[in-house]
Amino acid sequence: MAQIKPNHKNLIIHLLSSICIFILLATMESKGDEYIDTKINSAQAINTQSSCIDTSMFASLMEETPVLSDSSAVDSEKKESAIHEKSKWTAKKPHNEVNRIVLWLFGDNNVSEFKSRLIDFGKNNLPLFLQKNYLRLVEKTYTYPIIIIFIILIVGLFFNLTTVLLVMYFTNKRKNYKERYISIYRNSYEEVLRAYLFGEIEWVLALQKLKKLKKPLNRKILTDVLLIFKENLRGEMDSQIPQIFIKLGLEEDSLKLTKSAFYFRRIEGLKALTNLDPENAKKIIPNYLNDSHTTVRTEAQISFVRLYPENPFEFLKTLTKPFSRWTQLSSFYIFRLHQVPVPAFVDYLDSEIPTIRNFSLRMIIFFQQLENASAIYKLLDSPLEMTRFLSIRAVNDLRLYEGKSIIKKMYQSETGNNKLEIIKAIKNISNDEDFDFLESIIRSDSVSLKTEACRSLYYVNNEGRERLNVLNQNSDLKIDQFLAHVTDQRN
Amino acid sequence: MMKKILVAEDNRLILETIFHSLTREGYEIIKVNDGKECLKMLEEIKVDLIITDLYMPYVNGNEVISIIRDERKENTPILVLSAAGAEDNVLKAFELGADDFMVKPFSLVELNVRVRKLLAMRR
Repeated sequence: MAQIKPNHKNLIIHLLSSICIFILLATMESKGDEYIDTKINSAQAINTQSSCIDTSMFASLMEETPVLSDSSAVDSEKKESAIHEKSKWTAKKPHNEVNRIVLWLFGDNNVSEFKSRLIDFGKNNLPLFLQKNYLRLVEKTYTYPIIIIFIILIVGLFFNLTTVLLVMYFTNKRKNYKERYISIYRNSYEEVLRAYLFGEIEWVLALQKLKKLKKPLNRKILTDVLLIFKENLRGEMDSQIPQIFIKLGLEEDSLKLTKSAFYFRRIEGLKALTNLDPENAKKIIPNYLNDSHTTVRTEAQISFVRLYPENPFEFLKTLTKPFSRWTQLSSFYIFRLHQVPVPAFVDYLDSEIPTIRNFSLRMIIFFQQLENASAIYKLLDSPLEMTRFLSIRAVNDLRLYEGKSIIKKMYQSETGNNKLEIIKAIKNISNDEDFDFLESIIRSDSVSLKTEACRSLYYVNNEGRERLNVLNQNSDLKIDQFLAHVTDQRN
Repeated sequence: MMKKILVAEDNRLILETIFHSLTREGYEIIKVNDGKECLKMLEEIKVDLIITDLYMPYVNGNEVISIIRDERKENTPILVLSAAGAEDNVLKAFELGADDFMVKPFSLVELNVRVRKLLAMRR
């Protein structure tokens, strides 16, 4: 006898259980049919007895509108009982016809109650235009055998799954095709352009070899290739690449892109024009300096720095939106990379935008620009903590001795960070007159301020050190620990 | 005999352009796309010059230089070709053992001159 493999065993058990379920369902189905037949027969019997109830009345009963004919009392009783029976039959009709399994599982009353609740819910909560369809759906659910509904659901699910899989398959296929297409044409364009740039072929021949240039995608591929060439190569090729861009009319495509509703396309257009057609870029860049989209704005501002090396930060005067930290860093990087001449940042200190003022202060400190110290002193009065902090740092780093009295005056009202910065500044621009000021800080409670004041006094000059020794001996301040910390080379 | 130059660059367009330019000058060029491949290739063949990018997949340019100089103790001239032209990057590359550094965007004419000079120094 052939041995049954475990897999086959499972399959057989599965099959048997399916057959059992099928038989069970079939039995219930036949029982349900008998039940319906009985009910319908009894209803029909009553129906024949009451001659007054015609089909139209039956219809009105279905609408739950009691319509009675004008007959005798006996007839009337009969009719009433008939109506009662009919109503019962109507209420039970869906049960009888349909959900035998549901009825068997949950009980007759529960299913009816659930149906009336569903109807009530629809009537109370759904808008009128949906109510009709909703009620029809509920009726259908109670009219058709549940097995059919399950089958419909399964078919629907299968259909949905198939649709999703097909969409995924075709999307993937299209994506792969596009990637292959781009790769083929990119290689082809690279080869042709390289041959042209190395003087191996003439422009006419190159133009013939640059296939399908009427297609937008191909023009985009070519623009990308030119951009990579431009970003990586300089020398003779540096001037040839923009010429190719213009000869092929690709600048028109980039100009169109800058007008796109999508921000990333606007960026694409701006980038291509800045690198490959600076003249056109110069015309349109000012329109994007205050663009509503941050990334477009950033790209336009960075482009401005590259396009106007003689005055790279002139756009700061027209800026109405904050100058982001990323743009500050990027423009500074480009500014340094391309060795652009340093402008006078003091011109931008009176900007209404705090980020521009702070950036200018940082640049003034970095490039040690001492042109207009009074503009820096004005910012010591700024309501913004960061601006005051940078101004104090400027006073310190640029050694603006005239600013010392101002920062000393503002010390008491300053924040902790700014107080520390003031003490650090005093270290570099102080003299004997400031000893009392530093001593008063040493007598304060804050450890960090005390430490910094000790450091300042210690490094001002020898008199400062003597003053510290005297303080240490003649008072109970115990500043020897602070001094040990300050004089430790590791700190 | 043709001088062998190994070029490690992850940007295919630039790799091909360097290949094209140096082949015209009469050198034999071996192309690789990343640092790992570069080190593997160096185990198999002997080259006269290495041109490498700094930022590459798997093993970066600095690691390549470090492995060649410290682990393999080879003195093949190395020319770094990178867009990361900040002072720190240049100094680090030289400290690790690079012989020359070119910042992108670069001129192919200048590259040819530097290659010629490095190969002459090796002789």
